[in-house]
Amino acid sequence: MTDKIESGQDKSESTNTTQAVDLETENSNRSKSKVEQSALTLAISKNTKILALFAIACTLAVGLVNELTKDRIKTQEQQQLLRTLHSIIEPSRYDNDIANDCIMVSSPELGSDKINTAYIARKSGQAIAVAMTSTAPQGYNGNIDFIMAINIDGTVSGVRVLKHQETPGLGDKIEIRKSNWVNSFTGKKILSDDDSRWAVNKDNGMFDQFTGATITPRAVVKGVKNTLNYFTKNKAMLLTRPNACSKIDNTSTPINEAANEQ
Amino acid sequence: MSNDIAPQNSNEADITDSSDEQAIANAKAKAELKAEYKELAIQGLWKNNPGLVQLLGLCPLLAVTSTVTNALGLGLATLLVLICSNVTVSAIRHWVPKEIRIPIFVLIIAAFVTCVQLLMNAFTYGIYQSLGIFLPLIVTNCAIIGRAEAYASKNPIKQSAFDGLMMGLGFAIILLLLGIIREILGQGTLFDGANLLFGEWASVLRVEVMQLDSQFLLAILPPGAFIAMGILIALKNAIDNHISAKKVVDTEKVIERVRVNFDS
Repeated sequence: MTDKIESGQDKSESTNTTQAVDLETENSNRSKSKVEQSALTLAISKNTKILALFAIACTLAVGLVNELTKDRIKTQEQQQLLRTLHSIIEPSRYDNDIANDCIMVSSPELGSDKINTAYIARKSGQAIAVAMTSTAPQGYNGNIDFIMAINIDGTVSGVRVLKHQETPGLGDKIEIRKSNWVNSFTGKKILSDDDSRWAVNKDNGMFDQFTGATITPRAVVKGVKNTLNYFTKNKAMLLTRPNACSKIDNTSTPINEAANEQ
Repeated sequence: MSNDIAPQNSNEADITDSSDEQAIANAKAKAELKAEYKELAIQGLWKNNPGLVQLLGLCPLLAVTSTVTNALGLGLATLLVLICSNVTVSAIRHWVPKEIRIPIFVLIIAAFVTCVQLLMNAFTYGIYQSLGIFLPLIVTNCAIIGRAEAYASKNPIKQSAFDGLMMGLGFAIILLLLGIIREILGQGTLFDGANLLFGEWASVLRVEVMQLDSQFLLAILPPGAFIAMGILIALKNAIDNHISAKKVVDTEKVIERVRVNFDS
């Protein structure tokens, strides 16, 4: 919209310059053309003003609605995040405000170069589990974003897929809505760095693949394994980091991201 | 006596005449209005349906109709934006210069869409998530700016609101039909996830139409939407052809009767 307004202003400027040129032309022509020019300038400036008025009115309306819905949207996102976290960490197991207790993690082992969020669940101050967002980069149709909770002893507490573009009806069974396959991670532990059981059945591992879709579960298993590996290696370092989600600075990005569960 | 009475009578007759005329004019205006509303309804729902005939807004139409709930969510959002934009455009039609009407219409529509998006984000979070990009994309639905330009910018508020309602309904019905067809074929259910749109009570709306061992992929993916859409358009055309064929037969009959009259 600003483009339109600017172009309107440009036009009025250009008419001004032509007016200036006109001043040097013959006197008889001058008055006549000046009248024409000023009529045009008048129309343009009038239109510009009307357009600007509408732009202001519309912006005000949107701003008002935004102001009215802001808090509710925030609570909705917070609730969605808590729902996701509750589904992978039993709420009775911790007593802290988990949505506001997190650290930022970034590592190539987590599948992408973006900053992931890890929420820490504590019982009377002692960390008992960490819920970490991560990415499985080798999906059938791009990245698969997921969140996984890892108990402090290294077992998986739960995995949920947040965002993916896998084939509907085949690869989308990684969603909890479609199939409970993703629950097969719960309680599993990684024994060594290259634990051969962490693969799909087809690759002699312990996780089922889906009929017609092997690539998707393979990618998820690999992603979960890498994240788990990363956590067990860096556990001590991760848990001593300061809280990045304290209530004062509202980090809306991690909340948004984890609230995207499909 | 009779002379005296006569002009009085004529006077009375004049009065009754004029009041009659007024009444007739009123009735005529009312009938015209009624006819216009009827015409608007027919145009929006059938003859000029934005989905089936104008083929406007195909992108959201095909992309989000994989379930009835999504279709209903987008249909209602479009309906709301269409009515609001039509009313506003109609209300300001005397103050908007012809040269800058399009940017102003776009501004108004964009503002309404953003408001609807914010409201849906706040109150129907689940459906907001599943509609994704197609909610803000309502801005680019040509059906909306088309109605603003073609109808609302030239007609009074009430008619424009009604036009918006009918066009929006026409669009929503097609969305719903596609959603029903695709959800039954694809998942064997109806109103799956209606609680995302209407709140928790709506989970009871979910109907298991048939049990499918595996999903019918074609119905869920976009090509299925194209095919279903094609079938719907073909169906509409078939019905139209049928009606016009019937009409031709009727008029032929009339002509025959006329000829008989002439002969006799």
